[in-house]
Amino acid sequence: MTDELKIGGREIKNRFFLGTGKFSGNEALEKAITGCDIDVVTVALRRVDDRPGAENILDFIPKSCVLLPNTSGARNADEAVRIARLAKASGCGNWIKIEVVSDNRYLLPDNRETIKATEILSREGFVVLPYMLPDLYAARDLVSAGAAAVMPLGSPIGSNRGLRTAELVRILVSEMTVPVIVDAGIGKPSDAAQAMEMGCSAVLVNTAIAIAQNPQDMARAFDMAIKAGRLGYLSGIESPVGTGRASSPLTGFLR
Amino acid sequence: MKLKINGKDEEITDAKTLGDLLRQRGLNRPTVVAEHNSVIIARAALDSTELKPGDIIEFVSLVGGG
Repeated sequence: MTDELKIGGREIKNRFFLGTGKFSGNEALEKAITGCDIDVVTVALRRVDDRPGAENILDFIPKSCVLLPNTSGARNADEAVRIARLAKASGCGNWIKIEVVSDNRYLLPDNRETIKATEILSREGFVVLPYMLPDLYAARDLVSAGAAAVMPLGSPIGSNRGLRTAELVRILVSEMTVPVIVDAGIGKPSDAAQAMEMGCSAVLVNTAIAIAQNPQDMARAFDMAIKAGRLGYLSGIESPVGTGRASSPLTGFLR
Repeated sequence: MKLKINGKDEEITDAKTLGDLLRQRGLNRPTVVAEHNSVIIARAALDSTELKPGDIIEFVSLVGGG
C-alpha cells in the first residue's frame, strides 16, 4: 500500500516530525533523529553564540532531513517574515513554519498575523507551514494564502496536555485540502496515535521527547505510536455503538 | 566608531567592512547570516558592505527549536 505524504513537492516518508529544542545535548538529539529515520526536523534562529567551542546544531542533523525553521520569537507578521528571510539566507532551504505569538502566558498563535505572513512568504516562494489555533475559517484563509499544510495545536506549547483540541482538529481534517499536522502540546505517544487515528497527516513533537529521561527511546515510542495510528486510520476504524454486539458466534447448543 | 552588534553597543576600531567584523569574531562560516541595518547581506557582499557609526548589526544562526 502506498501512503504518500507530499509537502511542497517533496515526498515525506516519516510522518513523525521532530522539534529540536530543549535537548540536553546535541548527541541525544542526533540519536533521536537517526533512531527513527526522521525526515522533517524543526530548528529556530537566534543571535549567534560566539563563545569558543559553541556547537553547530546542523552538524548533528543528517543532511537527508528537511529543515523546517520556525519563526519563534515573532510577535507579528512583519517579524515572522524577517525571521523567515534570515532562515532562508542561512542556507536551510525554503520551508518555514510560521509561528506568531504575542501572548506570553499561553503562547497561543495569532491566526490573523499568521495569515498575513503566510501570504507574503508563499508569494516569495517559501513552502509555508503555519502553526495555528484550529479554526476552520482561519485554516481556509491560510490555504487561500498559499499554505502547504496547516499545523493546529493540540494544547499550548510545551504543556504536555495532549490533544485537547480534538473536535476542532477533526473538522480541519475533514475540510482541508492540505495536510493537517498536529503541533504542540502532544505529551505522550498515545496523544500522537490519537491524532493519527483521526486522519491527521503528521505530528510534530518536541518537548515530550527532549525532556524525557531517555529521549532516544521516547522518540521510538512516538514513532511507533504515529505509525500505529496511521495504519489504524487507513484500515478503517469503526464508529462506536451504544450496545453490545457479540464477537463470538451464539450458536445455541445450550438450550 | 560605535556600532550596535546583536543588541549591544560596541566600540569598533579595526574593522572597515562587515566581512572584517565577521572574521575578527570567528563567525565567518556559511551558517551565520548577517543583517546590516535590517538588510540581509549576502555572503558575496560582506566585504563590500562598509561600516558606519551607528550601524545596527545582527549575526544570527540556527539553533534547536520546536
